[in-house]
Formats: sequence, structure tokens, C-alpha cells
Amino acid sequence: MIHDTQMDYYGTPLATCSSDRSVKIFGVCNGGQILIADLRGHEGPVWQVAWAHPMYGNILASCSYDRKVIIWREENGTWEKSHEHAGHDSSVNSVCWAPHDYGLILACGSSDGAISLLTYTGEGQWEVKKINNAHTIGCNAVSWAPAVVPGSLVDQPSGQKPNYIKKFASGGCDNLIKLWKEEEDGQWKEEQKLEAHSDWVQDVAWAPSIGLSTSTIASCSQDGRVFIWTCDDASGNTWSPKLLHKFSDVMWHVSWSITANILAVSGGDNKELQMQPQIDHLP
Amino acid sequence: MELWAPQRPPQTRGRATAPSKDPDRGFQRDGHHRSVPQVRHNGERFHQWQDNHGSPQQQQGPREDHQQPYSASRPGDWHQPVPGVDYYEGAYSNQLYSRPGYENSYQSYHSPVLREEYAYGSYYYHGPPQRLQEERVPRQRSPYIWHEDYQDQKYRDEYHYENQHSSFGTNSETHFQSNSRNPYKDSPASKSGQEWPGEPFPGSLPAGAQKNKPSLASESNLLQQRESGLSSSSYELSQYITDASEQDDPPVLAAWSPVQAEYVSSAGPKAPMKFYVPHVPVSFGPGGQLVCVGPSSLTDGQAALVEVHSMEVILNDSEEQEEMRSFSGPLIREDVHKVDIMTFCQQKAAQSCRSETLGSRDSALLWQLLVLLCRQNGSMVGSDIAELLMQDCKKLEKYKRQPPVANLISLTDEDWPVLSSGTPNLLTGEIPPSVETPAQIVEKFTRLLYYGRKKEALEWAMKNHLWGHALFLSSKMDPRTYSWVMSGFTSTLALNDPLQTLFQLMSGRIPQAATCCGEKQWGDWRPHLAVILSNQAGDPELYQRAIITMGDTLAGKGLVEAAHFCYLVAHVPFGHYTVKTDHLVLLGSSHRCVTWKGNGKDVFHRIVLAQVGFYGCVFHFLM
Repeated sequence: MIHDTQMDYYGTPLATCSSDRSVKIFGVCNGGQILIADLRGHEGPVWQVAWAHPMYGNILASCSYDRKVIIWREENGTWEKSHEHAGHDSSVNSVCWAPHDYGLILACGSSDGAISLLTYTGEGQWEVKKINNAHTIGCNAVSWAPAVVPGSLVDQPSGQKPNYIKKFASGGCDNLIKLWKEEEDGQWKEEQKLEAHSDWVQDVAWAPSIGLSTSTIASCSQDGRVFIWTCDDASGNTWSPKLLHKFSDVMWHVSWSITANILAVSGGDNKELQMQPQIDHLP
Repeated sequence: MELWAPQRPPQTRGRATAPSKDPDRGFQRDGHHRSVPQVRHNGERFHQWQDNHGSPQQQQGPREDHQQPYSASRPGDWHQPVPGVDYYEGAYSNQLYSRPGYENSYQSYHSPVLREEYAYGSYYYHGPPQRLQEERVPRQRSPYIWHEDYQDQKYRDEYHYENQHSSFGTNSETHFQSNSRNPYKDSPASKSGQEWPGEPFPGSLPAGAQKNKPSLASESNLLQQRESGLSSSSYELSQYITDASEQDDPPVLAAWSPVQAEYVSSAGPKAPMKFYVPHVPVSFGPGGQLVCVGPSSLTDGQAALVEVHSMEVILNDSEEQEEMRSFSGPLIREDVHKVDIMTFCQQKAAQSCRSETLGSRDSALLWQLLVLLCRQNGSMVGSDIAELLMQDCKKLEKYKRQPPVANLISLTDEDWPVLSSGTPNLLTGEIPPSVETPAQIVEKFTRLLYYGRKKEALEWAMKNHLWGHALFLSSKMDPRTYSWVMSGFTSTLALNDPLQTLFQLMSGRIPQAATCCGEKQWGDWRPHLAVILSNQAGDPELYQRAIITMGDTLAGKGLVEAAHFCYLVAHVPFGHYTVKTDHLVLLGSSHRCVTWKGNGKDVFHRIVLAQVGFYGCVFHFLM
């Protein structure tokens, strides 16, 4: 059973991961496909894959039930395991790369309730920061906020390097979505708790932004509901949920299109659909 | 071998039918043996398999019957949990049939079975090859169902019903869910040497058989896990192997949960699986694709389907798509021919004309202006635009002075009373003189001048609308008189007369129209603009300021397109979004109001307008 499919930044390699513990990379072109690589290394079903930004090379991260996160890199046409992170006590459910502006940082959410952040510090070294007990019972999904200061589209360009505040959202088995912010001292602090679901949150996705002052997060859950959370002020403090739809079965995935005006959701009744939020959701 | 024959029939017999040579148990085993193949609890057997490892060798002795691959140590054991014999039997059959498919291997090979075996090859049976070959023969199934309680008892229960139902030839994947150790895996003998045992695995696999080979190499780690003795999810392994060449869905999911649980126990603290039922992963690709996995619930051996959809196709019938398709953007000079853009703009203009919404006429005008811009490569002459402006004004309005009394000339501040005969003037009481012919008026005018009474002559002329005479005379007098006469003249015009606008402008002032247009009672703004544009003489800056003011006024009234028209013709540079005092930022949209409501079509419309605007203006700026 395939658990995740992701296209990379340019849309050519398609990575899939499956219960058969493999991660496969296909080249997709003109209606045909060729298997580029079959990566083995996990000992359990692989839940999710994520492509890093191409400026760092061809890098793919995968996380699996075997508690490990493996980072694969392509060198000279061959894919190899570049790094393995085994710092979790339980299945790692989700991986997500941070926006490239922050560097090469990977967030991993696990069923042991912790979220770990791997930062590449160069020369094959990865620094690990762990947020323990991020969610009781377990964390199911992580998603980074885009590296855009809200409102920057309409502000006068100041000419300085923008001061990014790294943030990401995580959804967990405690029915909550939590927003995490990095403080100046490098520690991660829980900034917000978003409560609206009545069952495990299965997926969260922070919508890409072009710099308007609104931030949007989509979340879906075991209870069949898909919520859209919007925050209108730049400081990111007041989030208001809007129920997009209540489905009859568990909802597994949410994913935003590049322009963030289409949301694809898929659920347990094996159907998948796209929802196009009305424009007045997203000014 | 010969012993086989007699023994075969009584498959379900218990010990009773043991052939002479072998102890009962052997015979039983035989029976078991037979049954074993059908029973697919291969996996379970394996645990105990190892115990029996040695047994085959023992069995070698009384081989001649082939009937007892089982160690003699467990005569009647076969129900017991102790693996030993039972396993052996199973193993024995395993060799040949250990996986359900195996049995069929000779007949119909079931790859999945093999795969399992592959995976688990920690146990192997050192059975002599010949025996295996011989084993081939007795392939019947016995209805005997092996019930053993291993630690995997629950497994067995799971699969029991499946096994019962499964016929020899049908290897559903469920079979594989039982742990199956691949007895051959570790057996060099089995792999090498005997081409049969070794070979079936790779060779007999149907179709994708060969592909399994690569999977072998990486099984070692799996093996270690398996060898720990815990039941592992065979489905996973089978998947693993099955998937060597394709993306497969693992065996029936129904059996997953317990299997999963087993796996968990070996993996550490029990953690819930993230996805425990089939689901559809979906994500967007960067080129407008939507990647999703086919939603069918897959059965064994089928490749999962990963679909890449084009968003364009999905949104095929939305209005925005239609609009987008008709737009030949992005507008790069090299790529898009002018004609295309002009055609597009004309279409848009026609569309706007047809739609009756507020401001649609203005947006039609804007599109037409863009057409003009493109056609003339950015150079705009006032009269061209005036022509454009006036094309829709079919009839010239009669500009009447207010208040509209049923007179040709109504009274305003300067009341040059109408020439009505006989009615006394309410203010002065005097009876206006009767209407005189123009000749008589001139005559009186002249007479007054005989006497040098210029002022009265002027008054008489103005009263009688002898403007030419009055203006000539006053122009040769002092400027103050002249302007008095002139203002007298212009006061006879309606305030919203474009003539007023022109005269005011030519007099060096911002015409009143610039600050008043856009209002309903003021009438159409277009003639005013036309008259300004076509008669640009004198101070160009004044003209530009006048137009901009007009644009501002229109914008203030919400007529964004009209305002932008003005800005465009005034060559107002495009400004920045954040500078609220900038006039024009994006053509067709007001940047002063932050939120705009509109549907997607509208948005697209505006975006295109802006694009074309830029395109057109670029021409100009380059000229």
C-alpha cells in the first residue's frame, strides 16, 4: 500500500513510499514512467516522503514505522542513504522540510509524542533538537509555515534581509494542532494551540503564501472534519477555524496547491477530492 | 516411494494406517504431511521448525518410505505445541510445499508463497533433494487442517478460515500472512545444488519472479528480525518481496491488524499504525499536476496505481479555465504577436459591452484603449482617443442650463432675461421690450455706440445675445470688461457643457468638469475628456493636471475603469501598491481598497487587464 507520493520541486521525479518498506523514485514524463531508484533501508512501512529544496541537491527524506528517519541523497546519478536518524522511540509519522530560506532543516513527528528537528550543519553532520511531549499519545503530522513575513507583499520593501520567524504546525493524537515558534535562543516554544477536532488530527498543511497578511492552515482528522484556520493579523495570534466539510469517514490527507487556492483532501472512503475555497476565505 | 501410494489415500486417517515400516507416527506424519501442505500455517510452523531441524537428518534413515521426515521423537505429537515433529512435518512439506503456493509450485506456482519463504529463510530444511522430488508427488490436499498452538495461534485462527476455503490452487495472499520462514533461505544446499528447490524461488515465480532476486539480498536484516522468533508480519515481507518490481498492495488488509500487532511486538512499544486502512495519498505537483494513488482497494499482486492528473483537465469546465485558455499569455514581446493581443482585447471589449453591469461600458472603453495602444505601438494622440471616446455618444446632448425652464436660455445668476414679450419682469417691474429682430438689435447697439455709451451697448448686446458684437467690443476695451463679457457669455452655457470645459481650460483654469464629473446629473464624462484631449494647446502640464484631476474624481466616485482610462491617457506612471497616493498601480483594480470581492473570473479579468496595460504602456515608454 502506498502511503505517500510527492513530486519534487520541478515536477519530474516522483517519490512514493509504501508499506513494503521501500521508497521508490520514478521519473514521470509524457505519460510514461521509469523507475529511477528503489531505496531500501527501512524496516517497516514508510509513511511519508519529503523532497528538500533543489538548491541543496537532490535530497529526499522518509520516515517509517521502524522509528527511523532516513535522508537519501543522490550523488552522481545514484541514490544512497545519506543519514539515518533513530532518535525516536516509536513510529515516525511525518517529515517535512523547512522552507529553504531557513537552511536545511527537517521536522519529524513521531508516535512517541516528540518532534525532532534535524538541522544540517555541514559535512554530513546533522544537529538534532527534540521537542518532547509535543503531543500526548503521538504526533501525526508536521508542516512548516512559509518563509514569508505576513504582509510583506504589501509593505514597502525595506531593503534589509527580512527577519524570519521560523514556525511550524503539528497535529497530533491529542486532537490538537499546535503551532511552534523558534525563540531567539534557538529553543522551540509552543505558541498556539488550536482546538476544534474531536479526534486524532491526521494531517496539517500550512498554505503557501505570497505575502498577504493572512496565514492559512488546513487540518483533517479522524473525525472526518476538515478545518481551515485563518489568522489575519501579522502577529499570528488569533486563529479562527472554519469547517470546510464534515466527511463521513476519517480524513487522511490535506494538501495545498502551489497558489494555495485549491485544497486536495482525501479520506477513508477511498475518495479524494479537491475543494476550492471561496475567494472570500482568502483575501 | 512405493509406500506413498498406499498411504496416500488414507490421508485423513490417523495413525491407523501407518505402513508397516514406519511407526505410526510416521504414518501419521504422513497424513499430516499431506495435510500440511494444505494448511497454510507455514509460518507458525517455523518457530518450531528449528527444533526439528535436526530431525530431517534423522529421518533420513528411514527414508525409504519417505514417509517420515519427522523425527521419531514425537509420535503423536503432532497436536502438541511442541514444534518438533509437527513442524517437521510442516517443514517437510515446507520444503516442498511449505508455502501453500509451494505445493502448487509444481503445478501452479504461487509466487507469493515463495516470497514468503524467501523472506523467512532462517529455517531450512536439509531434506535431501530427492526427497523433495519425491514429495512432489503427493500433492493432494487433505482436508486436514492443522491445528497447532504456537505462539502464533492467533495467526492461525486468522487464517484458518482462509485456509479452509482456499483450495490448492488458490493462493490468496492471506496465506502469506502466516509467518513463513523460508526454509531454503539458509540452506545452501537448497539453493545451490538442487536446482529445484533453489530454483523455484526465483524461477518459478510467475511473471515477476526474477525480480525477487534483488530482494533476497536485503533480506538479511529482515531475517534477523524474523529469527528472533517473534512472529512477524508476513504480509509485510511478502509485500516487500512482491514489490520488488512494482508497487503492490499487500495482502488483504483484513488480516493486517493482527499481523501488525505482531510486528509491533517485535518492534518495540506498541504504536498505532499511521495508516491502517487503504487510503489515497494526494499531493500537488509544481507544474499543475495532482498526484494521487488510485483509490481502488487492491488485491494481491496488483500494482498500485499512481495517477498524475493535470489540474487543467480537472478544472476543465470552470469559467476561469475558459478565460485562461483564451488568453495567450504571458505577454512576452517575442512570443506573442500584437495581433493576438488586440484580438483578445477586442473580444474582451465586446464582452464588456454585452454585459450590463455597472462600469461595464467603461471597462469596454478601457479594453478599446488598450487595443489602440497596441495598434499604435504606444503612441497616443489626443484626437484618436477622443474619437474613441465619442464613438458611443450617438447623439450630442443638449446641454441645458439649469434650472431647465421651458426656455431656450434659462436663468442663472447672470440673468439675461429671456426675450418674452409682454410679461412684466418680476424683479424690476419693467416690461421687457418686445422681441426685436436682430437687425433692430444691432441698430440699437450701433446707436448706443454713436453716443459712446459702450457699457450700455455691451449690456444691450449681451441681453440680446449679440455675443459676437459684445465680445469684439469688449476685447478692445479693458481686460476687466472683456472678462465680464466673457463670463456673461459662458454663463449662458450649461455648466456641464463641454464647451464650458474647453473654454475654462483654455482660460488657464482646471475646468469645473474635472471636479464634478462622474455624477449622474453632470452627465457623461467622456465628452469632457474628449474635448480636453483633442485641444491640447498651451500649457501641457495644465492639461495633464486637468485629466488627472478628472481621473481622481472618477476614482473617488468608484468608477475605477474610467479613472484608469484617464490616467492612461495622461501618461500617469504606474505606481506602487503601498503608496496610497499613487494613482495607478494595477490597471483595472483599485489599490486603495484592500479587499476586493469577486469571483475567480473577475479576478482573472483584472489580472489580464493589468498585464495588457503594462504591455501597452511599455510600448509607449520605449518610444
